[in-house]
Amino acid sequence: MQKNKDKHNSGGYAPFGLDMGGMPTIEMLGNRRITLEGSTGILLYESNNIKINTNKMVVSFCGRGLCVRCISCSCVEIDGFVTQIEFLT
Amino acid sequence: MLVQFIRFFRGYVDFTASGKFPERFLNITSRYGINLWNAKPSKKSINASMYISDYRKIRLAAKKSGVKTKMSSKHGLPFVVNKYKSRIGIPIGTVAGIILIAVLSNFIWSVSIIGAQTVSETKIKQVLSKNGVETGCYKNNLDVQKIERDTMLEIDEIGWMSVNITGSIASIEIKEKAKKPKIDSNTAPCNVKAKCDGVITNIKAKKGEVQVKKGSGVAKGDLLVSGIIETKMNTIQYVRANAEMFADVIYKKESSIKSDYEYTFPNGEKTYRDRAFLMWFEFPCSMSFSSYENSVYSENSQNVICNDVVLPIGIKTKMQLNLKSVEKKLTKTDAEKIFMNDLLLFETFEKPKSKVVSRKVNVSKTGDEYCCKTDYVFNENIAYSEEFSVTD
Repeated sequence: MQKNKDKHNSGGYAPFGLDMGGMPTIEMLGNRRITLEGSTGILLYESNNIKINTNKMVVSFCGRGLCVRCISCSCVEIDGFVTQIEFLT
Repeated sequence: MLVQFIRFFRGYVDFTASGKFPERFLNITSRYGINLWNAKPSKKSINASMYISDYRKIRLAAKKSGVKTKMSSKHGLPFVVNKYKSRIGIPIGTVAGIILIAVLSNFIWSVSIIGAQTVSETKIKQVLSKNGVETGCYKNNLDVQKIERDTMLEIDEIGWMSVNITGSIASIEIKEKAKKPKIDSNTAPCNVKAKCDGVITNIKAKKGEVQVKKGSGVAKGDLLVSGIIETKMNTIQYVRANAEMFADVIYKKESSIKSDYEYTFPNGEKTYRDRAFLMWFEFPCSMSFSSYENSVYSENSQNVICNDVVLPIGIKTKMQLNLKSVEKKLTKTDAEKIFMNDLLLFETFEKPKSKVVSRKVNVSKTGDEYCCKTDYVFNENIAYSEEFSVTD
């Protein structure tokens, strides 16, 4: 049982102990602020489009006046007016 | 707010990273654990901010990502300090000023008393000073409750007091006690007698049997109001007689002054000496050292008042007046004036409750002095109480 629990928690960023296979966690504050956990790097950085690479996919945010508010090795916080989110696999 | 404060203290720079892959620059810096904020994209470049300490480490990240970094502006304390590095006096002065303010704010700079009506403020300040509250005392050691208690015990007229220390100002609030009326608790029977010779003009008897009439002459020690009353039942009752007996009383006063005397007066020569003071320390400000053989001086202190608070800083001015003595001969007119002044002072201060009915002044010269003989008629209360024993 303990072994199973450890297996579920390992390697993923998903909450509730579900094994999502290293899927990124996206937290949104309306369409004005987005926090993405599980980033492996920024692929494109423009004021109307930001593409962020994660383990399994590339997440693309489209909008106006987008900017990276804060960045660390696995977390990116984006500010701006988000109009579209795309998941590119 | 806190983050901005930390950023200001650590110092940060705004920079532009331009090149083919500015995104790669962001990824590498984040991997190195370099904190970066306000990253705004523009055409093939990124404008961002980072700590000055981190900016020195990004050379390798810039090389790897193929971007060129250019500092656009500098912010924060390290840059301000660096700017004034050559002017060492400014930071030293700033630090000294801050330390001075921090130290001096631990002392009481002004003591104000609110609500004193009949009790002298000087007396209250003296007692407070004895108990530890005075200008220049260390405020953190003050036991306010003990000071209030001790001061109230020492000054009986104070009914309530509060010592409020706000910053460096001690404001003392006082409420005075309502005075108790004097009650004569003595119930022993007594008579009212005359304390001097006179002619009765007015009788105000409150208790007892009046023995004299208006217009009758009385001698010293005569009975005026008796404390023995005969009741309707033909029995005797002993009471405490109480009365005010106004009578015209003759009073004689004699005085003399010498006709030749030494008159000392300030001849107009004066010297001012200024001293600046800060709490108990005084520094001379003027260079006048001339002192006179015979002189009097007056001292005037002017304190700095800031926002209705009297500060223990100011200037003390000492004015020294030269005195000159001359031999003077008194004329009869001058002597009369002097005697008249003396008589007025005598009437005001020695006979304050008496009314002057008449005054006859006779000034004469005998030998080397003038004599003044004055015959007064005063209208005053001549009654005094004298207790008696019932067994007598």
